[in-house]
Amino acid sequence: MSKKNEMIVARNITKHLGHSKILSNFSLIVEEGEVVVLVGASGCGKTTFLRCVNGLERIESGQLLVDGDQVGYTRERYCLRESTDKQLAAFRTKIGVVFQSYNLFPQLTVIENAAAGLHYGLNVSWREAKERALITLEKVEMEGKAKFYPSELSGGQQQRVAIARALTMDPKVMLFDEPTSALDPRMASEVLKVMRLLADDGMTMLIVTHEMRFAREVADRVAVVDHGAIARIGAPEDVLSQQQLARG
Amino acid sequence: MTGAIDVPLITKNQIVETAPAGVVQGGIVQAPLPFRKRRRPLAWIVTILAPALIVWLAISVSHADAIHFSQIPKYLFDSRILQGVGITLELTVISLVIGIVAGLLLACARLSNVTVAKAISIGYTWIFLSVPGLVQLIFWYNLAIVFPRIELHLPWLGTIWDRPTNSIITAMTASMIGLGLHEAAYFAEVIRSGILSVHKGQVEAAQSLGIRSRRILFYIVLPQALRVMLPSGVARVVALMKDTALVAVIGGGDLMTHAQEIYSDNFLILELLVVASLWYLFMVSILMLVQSVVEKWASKYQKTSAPRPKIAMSETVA
Repeated sequence: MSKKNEMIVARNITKHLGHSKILSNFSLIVEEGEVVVLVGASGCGKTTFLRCVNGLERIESGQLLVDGDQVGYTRERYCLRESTDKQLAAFRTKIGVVFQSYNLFPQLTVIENAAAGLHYGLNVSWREAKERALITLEKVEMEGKAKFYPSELSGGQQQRVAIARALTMDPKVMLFDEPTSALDPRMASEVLKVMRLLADDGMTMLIVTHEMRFAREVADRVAVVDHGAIARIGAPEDVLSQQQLARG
Repeated sequence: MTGAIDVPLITKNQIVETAPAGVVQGGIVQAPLPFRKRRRPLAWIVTILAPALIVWLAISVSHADAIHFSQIPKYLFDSRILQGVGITLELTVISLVIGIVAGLLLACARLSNVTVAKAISIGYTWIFLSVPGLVQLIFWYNLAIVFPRIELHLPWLGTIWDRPTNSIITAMTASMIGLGLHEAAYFAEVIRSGILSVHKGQVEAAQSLGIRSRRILFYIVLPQALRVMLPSGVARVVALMKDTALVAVIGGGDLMTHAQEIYSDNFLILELLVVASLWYLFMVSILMLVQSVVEKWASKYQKTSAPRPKIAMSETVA
């Protein structure tokens, strides 16, 4: 143990989808409190890696630890046994995920969306769950729309609610999968503002994004993913200048 | 103005109240041409001819001497008919519950990744959708031929339950089982397509919040699937209510059974069929009313819903 906890540890992960190799010897360590941004061309495996961290996709080989636990497996006395539905659910409460397409629950109001994880996942009563949800809604400045349905909100507002929904679970790490790709620049900036706030609060964040300016300003480290592995990783100013040169 | 040609009268039927301003052509201001609706000769023929046909049909039926209309009100609230209505409702509700519960299980089995469960679900649906409901009912009614007694043996304890099948499978229970299991196959398809209509991202979002699979199904997926399932589901309930008339062949005691009993005594066949039809009409109408209320409720969170498309006829005839 050095100075900081290792929140996400990925060692030599491989993953195929059909016949194409999505991740090959992908290795990355994210420390507690660190903000790491993954960049790279579409289809290079950034999103797949994020989904693996949350157990939405299974890795084929390698080691993937989140907060010390192998993703998708639970320690038994002499082995790592594939997690049950219940164990996987408990594991996932430690990880907040924000999707490109928000994926808010359309049949629930904003406050119910934000409270859904506590109520349905951890059996907290609606009243208490909503009280706690209101605090995170205030963080993303959406408390005024608590009684609205997602279909009545703009894309940027929906994404902020989605962030609040993940935050209400008090996760140890937040994963962002291209959170602003479906938004126009003005709505994107209000979402980025919230993410910046989270980073300043010391939240551990793993972000897939195409927002280079945001990456340069907020990221502790930027990783360039290419063909299923990390091609370059380091401080944003070292990595991004090269990246942008390569682009220009 | 200058080039005054006779301007067509503006009628109430016009779509656009004010036609575009006059166009200057060769120094003469042309009068603006008014817009008119498209000619729909077929719509007019239908509008006039169809009601005439219906009225003619109604008049000729009412003049038919063979039907004693005066008998209809007498039997409409006959105690046997009312009892039959009660049984029909009871059968509908019970087989509906059996159908929905078993259908949900079948749909989940079909969507699971357990190969055997999947195969059983597919096999069940295949058999119960292919064999006519009438045949299934008669089969259940005659179950005693295959299994004369229903027994339950336990090791060491011996026989703890033993009854002749015919004491359990009455006309009523055979009707419930027959209709319920038949309906389960339909509801399995309705529920399965409803579940598949829900976006995959909804499940993933719920999973990443740490919600367990069964709760995701009941609290996240099924409420959204409901909107897709309702139209076909209620259509199934209406069909089921009418299918209950099939149990008359095994003497199920429903509305149709009693109507048949009465007309085999007094030979007022058409009259009692009208009585039964009026009751079916009434019950199905109420169901349709319920359907519209439930559909509104189910889509309450979709506040930005698009208006329903109109069909061309309704515009013209109105």
